[in-house]
Amino acid sequence: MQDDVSLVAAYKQGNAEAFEELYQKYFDQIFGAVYMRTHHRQTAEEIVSQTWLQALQKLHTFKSSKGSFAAWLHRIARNLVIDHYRSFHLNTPIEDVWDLSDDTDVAQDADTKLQVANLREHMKQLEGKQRDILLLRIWHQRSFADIAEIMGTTEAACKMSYKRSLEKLQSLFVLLFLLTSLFHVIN
Amino acid sequence: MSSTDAIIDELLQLDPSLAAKREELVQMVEQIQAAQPNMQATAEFRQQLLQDLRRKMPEVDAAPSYFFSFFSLMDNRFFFAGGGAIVGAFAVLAWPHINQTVLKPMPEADDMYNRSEIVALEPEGFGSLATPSMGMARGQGGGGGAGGGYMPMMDSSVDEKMMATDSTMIAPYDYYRTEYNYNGDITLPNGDVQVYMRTRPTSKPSASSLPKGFAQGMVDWSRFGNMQVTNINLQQPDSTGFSVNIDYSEGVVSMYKMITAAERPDMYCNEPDCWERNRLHESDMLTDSEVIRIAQDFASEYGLDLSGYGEPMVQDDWRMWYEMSTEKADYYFPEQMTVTFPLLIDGKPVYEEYGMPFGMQIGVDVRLKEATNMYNYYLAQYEQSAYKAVTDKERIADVIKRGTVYGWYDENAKVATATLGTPADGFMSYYRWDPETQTSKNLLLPALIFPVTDRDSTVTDYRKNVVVPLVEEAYQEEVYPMPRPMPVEPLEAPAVEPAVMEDLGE
Repeated sequence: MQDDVSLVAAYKQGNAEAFEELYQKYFDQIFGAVYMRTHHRQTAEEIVSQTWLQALQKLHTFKSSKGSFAAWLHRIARNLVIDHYRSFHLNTPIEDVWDLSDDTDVAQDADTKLQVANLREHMKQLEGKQRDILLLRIWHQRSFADIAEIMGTTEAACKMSYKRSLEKLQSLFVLLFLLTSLFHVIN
Repeated sequence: MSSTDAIIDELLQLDPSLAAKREELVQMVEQIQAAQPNMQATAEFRQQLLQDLRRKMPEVDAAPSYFFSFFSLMDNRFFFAGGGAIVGAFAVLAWPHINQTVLKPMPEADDMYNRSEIVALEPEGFGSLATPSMGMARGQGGGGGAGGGYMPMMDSSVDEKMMATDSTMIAPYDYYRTEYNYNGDITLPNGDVQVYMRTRPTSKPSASSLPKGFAQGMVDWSRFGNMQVTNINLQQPDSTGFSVNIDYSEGVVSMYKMITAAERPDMYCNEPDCWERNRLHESDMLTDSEVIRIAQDFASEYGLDLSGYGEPMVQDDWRMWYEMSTEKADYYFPEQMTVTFPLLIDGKPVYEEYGMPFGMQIGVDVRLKEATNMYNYYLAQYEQSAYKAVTDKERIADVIKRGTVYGWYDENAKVATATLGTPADGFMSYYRWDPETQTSKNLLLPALIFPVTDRDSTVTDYRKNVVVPLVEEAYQEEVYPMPRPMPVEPLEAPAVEPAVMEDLGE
């Protein structure tokens, strides 16, 4: 299998199959990453469609010297997710679904909403990029090298962010446990 | 080691001081993992998006498209390689005689008309190919043209007493059926074969910017929302110009020339003398090579892309009828000779199930010696799916003998014989009606094409090829026998007393 740089070069020379190879390689990744940030299948499909269309339209501008194709593609997807939530003109800046309030009208898949209910308040305490790194590692089980490439940063920075996110969450979990215990004691 | 343990160990490698909180971290990570939703896209979405992207690929560097981008000549930059895939030619038309300056750009013109493609699906992706009662529904489906071949007919022929085109029309009492004999070897494919299905356009141009002329003020068009153009007919202002139909639902273009009385006086005859004066004679008929040349010149003049089609064939059954006619002086010679350019799939020609070539047709007017119509010029877009090949040689032999897989014939009919030559690989065009969606699927089944090399000359059997599909499911259709028409015997006495008409007189 050719590397991404070769595939992009091949596409620019008119080999449509090269783009398809990139599509097959990154489709699941992109969809998973978008769904992770939207929790709504239809929204994810729309954003993923736009992501690939933009990739197709802008592929002639991609330069490998400025970063990997994966990072470029994920950046397009991430920006589209941010644009999507900004289009709702909510009072507070929303980058993805985790930032939404519990009583929001913004569409989410019901089963996913239920699934992540216990996690939502904790994840809100993290910044968007911190969430991405954390969930790319735990949910998507991507290596730090991959995550670094996706996020357009260094592996060390990803590890540091990951550690701090878990520490923060851990302290939040402990706090919640203590508060819950205190509640039971009082009652 | 569980994934949780792996995550924790990894975390502890980053910061060993977290070891004291291991238990809490495990609980937390497990909670995060438990909250993971299903983040898989559906296969349908994945495939559909890829198809959409493929269509958009040529647009990346293209100039802004206009309503007639369908008709613009395309640069063949992009290609598909790979086994089983075919790069069809881009289906385009150039319109040198139409003034395009009056046409406004349509912002949502569908770019999918700008390329041909074959999309591979999973095996048996078209569902079942077997349909009950299809014996009654054979022939051309789709639309937008006169059809790619002949309409279905029963497999019985008539003897030479029945002449179709001269003044002697005798109701036949004797029916014949032809048995086709092939004495050579037949090699059947192993495993699966690739079935193709012509796909219809999934989107149509928006009608929002389509000028509605006199109708603009007659209707509140805003009430209809975002309407689409499904079919449009264009006409040159010249009385002898062309009318062009674009069927966006079927993905097909057809055209026909308007013919005036001056060009074809016979079309406006109301009395026998006029007809007799203007009828064609044998000397007026064109040779096959002349007809083909005219058709090819026409295709070239109007930019019809023939690269997806095979060697042209002339429908010359009239010659058979003429040879068998006993009153040649009264024989009606056809005003038009039709050239069929058989569709090619994987480099192999497509035939109708009754042996006629299936593809684009160009009609040549014998008097005018011009091409005056064109039909079945479809978008070359297909899906491809693997189906199990037929392995039953006895079943194949039966189909060969009968001459068709679906036809019916009268068991009591007399038997004529014909000889078949060595088969070639090809495809059979097959329309399968889907009662659920109320649409027909144009499937192209891999087939063996047996040429008829010899036949009983006293029987009017027009079939030139016997087409034998190689897909197992094609043999699962039930064939319903049709009742034989009852010969009408003259009655010795009237069934009822004739009515007596009073002479009303003056």
